[in-house]
Amino acid sequence: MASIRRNTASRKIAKAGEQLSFGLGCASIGLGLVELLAPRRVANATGLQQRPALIRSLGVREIVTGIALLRKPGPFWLWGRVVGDLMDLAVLRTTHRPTIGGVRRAEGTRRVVLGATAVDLCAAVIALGSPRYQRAAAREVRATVTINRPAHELYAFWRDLRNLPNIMPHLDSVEILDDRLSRWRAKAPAGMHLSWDAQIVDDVANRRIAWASMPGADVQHLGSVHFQPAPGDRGTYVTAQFRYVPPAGRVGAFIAKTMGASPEQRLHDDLRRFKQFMETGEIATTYGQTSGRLKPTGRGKMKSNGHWQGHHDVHDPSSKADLLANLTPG
Amino acid sequence: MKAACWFGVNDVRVEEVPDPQILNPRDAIVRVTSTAICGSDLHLYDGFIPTMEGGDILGHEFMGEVVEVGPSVKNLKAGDRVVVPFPIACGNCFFCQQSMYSCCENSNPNASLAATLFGYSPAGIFGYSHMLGGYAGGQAEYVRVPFADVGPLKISNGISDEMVLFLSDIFPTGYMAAENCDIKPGDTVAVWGCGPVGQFCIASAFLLGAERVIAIDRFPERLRMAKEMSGAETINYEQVDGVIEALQEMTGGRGPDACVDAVGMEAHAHGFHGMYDKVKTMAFMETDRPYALREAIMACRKGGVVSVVGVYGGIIDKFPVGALMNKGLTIRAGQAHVHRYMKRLFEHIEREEINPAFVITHKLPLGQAPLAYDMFKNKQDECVKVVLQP
Repeated sequence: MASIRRNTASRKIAKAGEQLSFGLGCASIGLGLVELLAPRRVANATGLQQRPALIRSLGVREIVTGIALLRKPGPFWLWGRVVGDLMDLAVLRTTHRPTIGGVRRAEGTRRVVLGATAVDLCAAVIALGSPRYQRAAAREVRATVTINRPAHELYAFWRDLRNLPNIMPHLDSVEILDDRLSRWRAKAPAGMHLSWDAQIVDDVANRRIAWASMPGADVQHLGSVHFQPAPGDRGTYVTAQFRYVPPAGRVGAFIAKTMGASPEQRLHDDLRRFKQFMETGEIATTYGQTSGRLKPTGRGKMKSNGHWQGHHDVHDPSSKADLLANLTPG
Repeated sequence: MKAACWFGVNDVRVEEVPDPQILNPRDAIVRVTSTAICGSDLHLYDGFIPTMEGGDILGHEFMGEVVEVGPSVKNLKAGDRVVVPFPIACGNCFFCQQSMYSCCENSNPNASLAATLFGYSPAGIFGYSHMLGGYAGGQAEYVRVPFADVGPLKISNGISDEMVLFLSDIFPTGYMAAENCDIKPGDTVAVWGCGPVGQFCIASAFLLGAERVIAIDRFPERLRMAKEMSGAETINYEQVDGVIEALQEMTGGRGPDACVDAVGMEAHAHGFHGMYDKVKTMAFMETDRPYALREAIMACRKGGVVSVVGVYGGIIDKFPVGALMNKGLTIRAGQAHVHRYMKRLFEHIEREEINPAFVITHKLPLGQAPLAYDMFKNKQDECVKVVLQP
């Protein structure tokens, strides 16, 4: 089972990246202030021509980026720093003093800036993988459906988490470990399996169920479903909510593929299947139907004695009655 | 088995395909004895409906004999003769329970597709694009019928196919269009479109107590059918100066009490006015041509009803909302809630108050479906309705 887990080493790297980012933010502000307040001295030291207006504007840019980076840490402003570094390199090339001393100083400054660019690049790349950024990149989806059944029936179905793969086709199975803990398995391409443990974190009979993945899971997520009687005896409003952090790498790619372009639609479809199953006892499908795209198989034809030869190897999904009979009350 | 399959614009072919199977416990398999081509099938044939795929089996008006039932179907058995309604309805959801069967919430497996276009998805329909479920249709030898415990109507053996086939779609559709007009004694109803649905709407309007029905079309054989079979007055819009003016004159200056649009998205219009919508749809700036709808709204008397039963799919231009609002009109629309009407209309047929076979002009074997589509589309040989027999 090839599962990708975030280990302590990568957590340490992420932490170091955050500290680096903080340091870079402060350094930006410091450098920017110097450029703003003492442009002539800066020009002297770096080998630039005496262009106070230009250096002041560079200073303002540094301060702005620095403040932004401190306020909103993450890869965006770090990449902004990299862009700024490249700008500085361009300025050095074009605006250095045309004297020998100037050229030498500019060369020295150029090396320093190249070094800074390298540091900024590292910080930006690390930030992409950091949990803090990912928490900010968490996605939340919600969907609601009205189901023409009483809340206790819907709650009972959902509370037995083993039922969920019936309405969520991307799930392979859910195994109950104890009254709170469960192990979920999802289908994945190329023989890969995705598996995680989750625990019930909120459970109010006939009203709501919430569950959260255990720490260390491939995809950190929090899910909940709420049941509320619909007005006028029309059944139950069911609202499902799902909060998850899309991870990078193969797992992330698989999640993206499963969720499709719209995780909201995915959740809506899951709730639609829930509704279909609870109201009609089956899930509407055309999977396996005939069409002009298929070669005829010759089965099930009317034989010459006038009798229809039906199919006997047809998938017969368990009926709703059987399923409900197996549910434990409450 | 043989089935009429869609392969593109003006391209229907009869192919040898696998037989259908039971996929869900409430399914049944029906051996088709008669099936018809609907005017709305022409929207598929003409390429107006999106989400079709080459190889899709067409057909939503069909009847036949049950040959197999799924384990949860208790009301039907092999050998029963049935007419199957074109919308697929579960019977359990809010809409089915309110008798709004063509709005069923549970029968479209691709509901999210239709919801993108319409806000919420209507019921799945046989043979009418993947947006509406992608179900294999009934212009075939056999067909899988989902929710067979809700839809199919059992028919006694004494009555011929041609008398009851149209309970599947066009008779209830025309009837619902007329019922939506809220007909009161003394009312005059104007019906745009004398295709089969229009014909049934005209007949139903009289059944429901209309005093006068005015039929509007340009094909003489269709106007003649409306006049001779139902007693309608007629307007050939290519021979009058303007339909609205003609209706005004015929109704004592007030306008008809109710107007029915039994034309829909591929409306044809005379002269310059028709060019506007034709050009816009060709340039994809409009998806439907609402010529008949605009006219119906303008012609209707104040406080009247405009009943829309012609199929529309997308968005239109230049909608006379000012007329709608200031004249206090009511607009009623919908895909027919066939299940609601089947029994009632079957009784009309049994009591010989109407013989729906009057619209049939051609009967062909299923193998000639491509020819049938072409003839129906181009209204050749005075074609009004084609029935195919597998």
